[in-house]
Amino acid sequence: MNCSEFETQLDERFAASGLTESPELAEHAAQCVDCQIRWAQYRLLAESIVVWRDQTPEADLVESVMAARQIFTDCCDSDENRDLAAVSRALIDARSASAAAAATHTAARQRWHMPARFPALAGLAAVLCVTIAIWLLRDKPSTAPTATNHSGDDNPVAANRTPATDPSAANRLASAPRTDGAGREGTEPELAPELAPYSTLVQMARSAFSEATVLILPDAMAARMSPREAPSPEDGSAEPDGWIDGLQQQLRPVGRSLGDAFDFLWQAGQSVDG
Amino acid sequence: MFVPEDVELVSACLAGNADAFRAFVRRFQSAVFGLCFRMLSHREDAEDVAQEVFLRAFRKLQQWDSTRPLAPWLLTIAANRCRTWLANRVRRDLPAAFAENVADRRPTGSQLDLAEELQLALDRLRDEYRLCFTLYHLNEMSLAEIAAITGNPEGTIKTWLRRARQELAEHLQRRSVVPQVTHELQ
Repeated sequence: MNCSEFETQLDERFAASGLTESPELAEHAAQCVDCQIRWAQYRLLAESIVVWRDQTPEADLVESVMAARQIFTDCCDSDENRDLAAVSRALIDARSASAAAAATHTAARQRWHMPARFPALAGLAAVLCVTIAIWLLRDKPSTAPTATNHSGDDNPVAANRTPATDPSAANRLASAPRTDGAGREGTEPELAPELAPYSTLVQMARSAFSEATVLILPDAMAARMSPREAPSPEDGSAEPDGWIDGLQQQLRPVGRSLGDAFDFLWQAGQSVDG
Repeated sequence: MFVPEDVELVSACLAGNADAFRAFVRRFQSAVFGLCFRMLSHREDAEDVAQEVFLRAFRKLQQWDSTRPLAPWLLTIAANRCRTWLANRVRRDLPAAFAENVADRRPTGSQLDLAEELQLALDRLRDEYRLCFTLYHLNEMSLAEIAAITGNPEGTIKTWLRRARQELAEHLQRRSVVPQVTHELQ
């Protein structure tokens, strides 16, 4: 027996009986290292096939096939040219589309819950604050009847004088130190004692909003600092890092706008009161 | 080969008996899914293809020759669907999870690894070799039945099977599953 005959007989025996011992094959393999290796390979292959066959998984397809058959029967049974592959693909695509839609819905909910919610709430808070401030300023004459007497004049028109028509008040506004909403140093204007409750309310509201802004937006403190104190853009700490920093950057213009709105209300109140 | 059970089952299915359809699936799902799984090496793909195989079989049941056994006829559909699926998979790339799963396989000598190594080697065979090997060693089809399923002569099937076994054995040795000389013959 030569090596070619050995391989042929080895494979035939393997196919027929899964490789049983054979004196003829053993006799040749004892004299030929290559055929001995080949025999060893086939022995392990036989062992692998047994394990491979036993480990083939099972699947329960009864319900899925019956459901697919029902769908197919309902929608396509009258069509002579119906394509089962298309129906099966449609079922698979429907499953994939359902999974994709669920993922998209989840992503949309996450977007609303995290970044989109806070600007909306901040805007709502701003509108509420502005409304309260306007309400306070509008109701001031009826709740403070003595305000018209600060200059010793009973004429109600005098209570509505503007700073431009009252040189002394204009001078007070121009010279009084104050602090604006953006944190710039200034001087507070002097107020008549009867206006103090209203201005105090506005000041309290502004302070509360400023503190809240600082608490929510740590970068707002940097905005209140002088340019030398504030971190430079090249500073690594100023770089956005994650959705919280992104949210801060998104809310920063809202905070500035609200600060400007309070400044405007403050000045308007001073003008009306003055 | 005439199989009375096959004829009765198919007759009941053609009559629209839902229980007969269920019995049909239950009877052949192991063979069909096994072939699909070993050909595709991906469970979900195999389930999808097996489902499609049964739907096609239901549609063409009236074309089945009742003088022949039902299993080879069903496996012919399965083999064709697997080949189509494999051709489409080549065009749309392998699933990432499948590719990683194949790449991470390493032999450690256990029986589980033996089966995985064999499957890994099977995945690298030509599709027709893999089909013949699976039909012969898993589904226990004869050479004549495989020839009928694949539409090739028996001699060709015999040659393909022999080459498949040789390549598998060499692969196992390349993967160091087989020592150089481990078997004492005498």
